[in-house]
Amino acid sequence: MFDSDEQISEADLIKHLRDMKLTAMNPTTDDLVLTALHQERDKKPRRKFNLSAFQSAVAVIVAVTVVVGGIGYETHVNHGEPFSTNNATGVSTLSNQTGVSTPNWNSSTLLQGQVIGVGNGHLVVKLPPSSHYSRNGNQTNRDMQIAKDTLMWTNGRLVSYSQTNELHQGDYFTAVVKIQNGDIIAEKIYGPVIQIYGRVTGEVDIPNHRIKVETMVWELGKGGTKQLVSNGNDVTILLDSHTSGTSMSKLNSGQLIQIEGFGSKDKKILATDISLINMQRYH
Amino acid sequence: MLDLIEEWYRQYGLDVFNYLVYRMGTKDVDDLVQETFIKALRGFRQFDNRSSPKTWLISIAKNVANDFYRKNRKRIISKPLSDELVVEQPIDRLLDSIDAKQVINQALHQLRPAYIEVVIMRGVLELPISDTAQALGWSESKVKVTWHRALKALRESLRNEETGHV
Repeated sequence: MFDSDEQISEADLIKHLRDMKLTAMNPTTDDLVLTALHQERDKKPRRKFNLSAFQSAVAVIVAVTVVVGGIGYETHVNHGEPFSTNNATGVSTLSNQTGVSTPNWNSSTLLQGQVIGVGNGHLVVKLPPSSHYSRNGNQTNRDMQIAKDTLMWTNGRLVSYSQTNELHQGDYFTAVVKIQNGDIIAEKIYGPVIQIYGRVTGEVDIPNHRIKVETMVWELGKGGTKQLVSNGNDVTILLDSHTSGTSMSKLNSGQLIQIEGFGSKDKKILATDISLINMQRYH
Repeated sequence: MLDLIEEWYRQYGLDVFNYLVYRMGTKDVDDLVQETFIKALRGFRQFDNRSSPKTWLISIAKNVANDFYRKNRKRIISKPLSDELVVEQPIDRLLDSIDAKQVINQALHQLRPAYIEVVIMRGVLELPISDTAQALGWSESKVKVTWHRALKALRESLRNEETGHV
């Protein structure tokens, strides 16, 4: 290529260097950078409290007035139980791109809890004590009404609740609800919350926010060792703007991951969190 | 502000990408491009219009690359740079082009860091001397001197690669 008997001229070298400029980025670069920029924008800025003594006193008086007056103010219900949703604002990127119905949280009506009973047209749900909907701060069992138009996220889309496997006693869930005359009525239910282990199979589909995974189960070996082995089932993991944990760009075929999300274990799971498994910890 | 950074990404993202590819010696630089633009978004108030946005972004990319090198010295794995080449070229020119890129890239990374920086900015990105000086935080005369010394060293390195001695 270059004549070894004679050194390449400076002009030729400069021309070669100019020609080295790549004319396109990787197919994944745009998606990664633009998504990250949007997520950065959606992060809530940290509020710096720097109150003077007078401002502090005013704040205390206002707080006391609110409590004594019993003002019923609907606050953001995101108490981190049974899991935490990392971002309760913003619009689902997945639903925009693929038409899959994923949560578009309305921060004033997000409810998380556990089903402790199944009634006729309603579920008895246990809410965390910190929840605004738990009466008097200690009555945490409430009825959540299932209406005719209540939807549930199943296999990648929202369908009528009656057409789903429904929630059962013990299931954790997240729901978008409305309050009518003090009753909690479910509009959209995302659940049950499940946790699975899996091995990434094939290509990580970043543009469509999907990962194919074979599900794994723990197997006990000799000497108390544990190992993950495939149970023969495949599942599609969907991600959206609320999915926290490991970025898709860091996932490769063959990697072991732990997924928390909504859905059936043998169908499509909407991931709320994905984390890589470090097998060295288990040996 | 986000709109402006997005616009800059569309305008200058490829320059940042090119800088990082040749700086790191691999095309696997998506994370670093991402980090560059996130830092630009977070540090937007520090942009004072004394340099062009492109120069400012490349100076951020330089710091991102330096941080990465510091933290991940052992992890950096080269990926062939030839897989993006345009295939419409006649095969003999294509092969020549593949060889040239690979050989120059290999020779480039034999050079000292200051030479690598100036060759990428002046040679590959074709930044003017003034912009290169701003991006590197050098004087313009230092850029000129280093650029000529770097070209000389690169030519020498290429000759050694061809003849098989280092």
